[in-house]
Amino acid sequence: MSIHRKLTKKYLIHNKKRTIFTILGIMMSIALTTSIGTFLFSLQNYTIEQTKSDYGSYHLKIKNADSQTKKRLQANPQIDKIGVLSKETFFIDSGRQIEMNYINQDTYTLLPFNPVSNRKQQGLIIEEWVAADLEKMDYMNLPLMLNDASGMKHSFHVQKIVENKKALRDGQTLQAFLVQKAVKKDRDIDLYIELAQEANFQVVYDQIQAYIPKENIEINHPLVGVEYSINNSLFTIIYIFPIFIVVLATVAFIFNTFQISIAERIRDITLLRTVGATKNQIKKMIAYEMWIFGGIGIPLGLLLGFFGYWIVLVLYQLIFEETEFSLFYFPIIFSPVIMLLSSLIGVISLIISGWVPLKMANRIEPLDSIRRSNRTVFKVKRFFRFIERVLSIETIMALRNIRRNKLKSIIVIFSLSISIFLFTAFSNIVLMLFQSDMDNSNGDFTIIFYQSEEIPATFWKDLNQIPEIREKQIHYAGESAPSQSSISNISIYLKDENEVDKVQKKLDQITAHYPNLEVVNVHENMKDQSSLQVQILIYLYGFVIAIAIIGVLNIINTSSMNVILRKKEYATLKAIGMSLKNLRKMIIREGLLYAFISGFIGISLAVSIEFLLYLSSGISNWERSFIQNIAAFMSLIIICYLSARVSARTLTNKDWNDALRDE
Amino acid sequence: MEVIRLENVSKVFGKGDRAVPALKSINLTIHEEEFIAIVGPSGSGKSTLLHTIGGLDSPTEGMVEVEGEPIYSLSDEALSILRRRKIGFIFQSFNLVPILNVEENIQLPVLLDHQKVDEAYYNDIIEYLGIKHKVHAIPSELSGGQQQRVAIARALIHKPSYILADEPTGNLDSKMSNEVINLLQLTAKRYKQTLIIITHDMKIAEKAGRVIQIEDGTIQKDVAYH
Repeated sequence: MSIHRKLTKKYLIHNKKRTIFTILGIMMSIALTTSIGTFLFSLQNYTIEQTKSDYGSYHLKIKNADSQTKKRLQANPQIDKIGVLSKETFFIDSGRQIEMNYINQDTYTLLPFNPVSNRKQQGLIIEEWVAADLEKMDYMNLPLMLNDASGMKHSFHVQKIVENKKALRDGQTLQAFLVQKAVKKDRDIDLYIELAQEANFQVVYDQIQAYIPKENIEINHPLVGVEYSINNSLFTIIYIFPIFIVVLATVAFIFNTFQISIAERIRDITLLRTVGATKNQIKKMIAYEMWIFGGIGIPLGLLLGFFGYWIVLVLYQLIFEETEFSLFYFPIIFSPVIMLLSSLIGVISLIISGWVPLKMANRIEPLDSIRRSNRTVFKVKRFFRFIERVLSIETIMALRNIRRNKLKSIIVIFSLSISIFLFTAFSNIVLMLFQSDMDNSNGDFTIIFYQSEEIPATFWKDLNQIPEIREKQIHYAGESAPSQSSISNISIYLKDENEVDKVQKKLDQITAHYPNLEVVNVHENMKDQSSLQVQILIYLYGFVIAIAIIGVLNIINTSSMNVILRKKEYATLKAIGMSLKNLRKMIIREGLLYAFISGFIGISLAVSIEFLLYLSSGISNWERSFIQNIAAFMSLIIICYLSARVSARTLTNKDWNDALRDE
Repeated sequence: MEVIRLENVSKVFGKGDRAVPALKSINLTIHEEEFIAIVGPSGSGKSTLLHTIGGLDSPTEGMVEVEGEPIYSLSDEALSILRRRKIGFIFQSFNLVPILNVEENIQLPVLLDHQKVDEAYYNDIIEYLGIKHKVHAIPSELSGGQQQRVAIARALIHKPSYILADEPTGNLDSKMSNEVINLLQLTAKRYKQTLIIITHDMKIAEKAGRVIQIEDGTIQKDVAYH
């Protein structure tokens, strides 16, 4: 083994505590990046799956196409799958029209069919509202006899009933789907296109526009939106912002930890230079140390991040019931890309962290370590001199110690400011978001009309026959004169709120035949919303806590390091009459000063954001947010006090002798 | 008059197999305004003895009395007050606080005691030590000799009764060493202080009124010349 490796190993083993602390720090940072990355990746995957389930997994629909167009599309390597659909109109004996959609197996997989019941091996696929209508006409248990346009009779069985999906229909006409091996028609067909995974949507869209009229091309906007719209502002807020913050905090923390580890023995390194070590050998030593820290810390961080997140998810799902507002009811997905990116962030952070002290070590000439010349050179500005007149000597020294190593101080202040900023900003934004939504002044139920349509008189009759309803308020969409076709929703008020469950059943029965109506239980909604609020708070505060832990570790790391690096200085202060209590006071004041500076920066930023939101939305909650800001500031002071106290306690009355003699 | 007394003082560093005795049953009495040189080879226990006298390092066994008071029975706070009022330390590597300028470094013991600096006395010292023009400089801007003068000024500012100097000339050339020792002698006389110096330099030791030779943690010779 080469001498530089031997020396590095000896150093790491000799300073077990510091080595473990550094590895733990790297591990924590990587774990945070991995868990946030895995969470966002799983969330994005879940969003895509949900969108596919609601709107289908096709990206483009071509209307009025023919087999020639299909062949041309099939030749495009960026297109993965093409489904075919052709329509034929049938009639029930009563004369009511039913639209038959012939589809092939590919179309079946591309459209959002979510079966609620399977009845036969083969036959028609119908939506729930169609089934409710056919049931009313007593057709569900019989073979359905349909007449085609020429009057010929055809017999069909219902194979599957699927969930109502707006994406499956146009208007109110009854419709059914029939899967065929091959769709016979080769003109007037609809084509459903799924792009290959690596395809560029815009390129394909432009290509097909060359031979298909634009009005015949329909984009599945919800799916294309989640799969391809990186420029979406919501995407930026949800994905890019947390990742950016976490990566910055990770880099800052690893930088601080590793730099401290190297700075601690900068003298040892320079002494090696005096006995003949070349700059290259020193570089190799630091690189080897980086390799050891990274080699252990990064894989452990990846494991901790993935499994830690998995445990949190399991616990969450045990505590919270699944509702339509549930945030984390989606499966965790292992992504090698996230693992690779997290490792890369760790490696880059380590390289940056190693590079600075390496430069520092290489700049020091061998003789400097023997002379032990003190390199701290900074002048106290007049402004600070003025402030210092009213401060005690411990506070003055704490203040100057912060200014002593600006880079280190900036890292500590940055990570703490970020924590306090995120905490206050998130809390205040959540307060704003939820303050207007939490009341039931709009009724106990709301019936939402998704599409303008004439509602038959039987609907109103049925609704009026519910005795528990006290009042109905009909709301119309737009500026036009109120008419049945412009109803947007109906608010329903009950005589007694205890009748909610009973009324819910009756309303569900009435609206079952109308696919474009939805009954919203306002009470349930409120309950779900408050549960959502808790979930959002857990997510946001969980994130803030993770960042805050990094901030606190930075403070502990920096203060403990200072205790080690400045031992000789502290010994001198002790020799000239500073008591241990005062020495500790000085270290604690340094921690408190970090808290004050970071708190001031973080809260100022959060208040600015809040003010911008107030300007744009007009919603304000200054009184509550003021209390929250004060609470956050006080928490930061307490956390920093405790962290600095931990480091200050490591300073004892032992070893002054060695420290003073340490030449 | 007897001002410092050490009775059976022993100091052991480490424990068990790794225990290293630094001082072995030292008995020593120091009188007011004495100038003592402590000599001996490296690792003989000179610095440990000085730190023990100065209340920096408690002995494993035995008693240290300063002006009749057993100092290691005092609390840390009381011991710190004793140091900042009665003792002035000077070190080989100057040990100035890098974040403080010359003026602040010198006045530090007084500031730590929450007292007002005697400006006339302060001006007197810096003029006497020839560092008046450097009071706003920071330690890294000074030469070795200048740094040691600042350290001496810091040791004098609170008018201590005892100056304990651990190889104060170890990092200086012979001309500068001579100057520093003369300064220390003169100030000790002027302010009626007891001066205890650790040195390897026999020329410096010859200037002292009493020379104590230490080897292996025990006093080998204790000779008074004047």
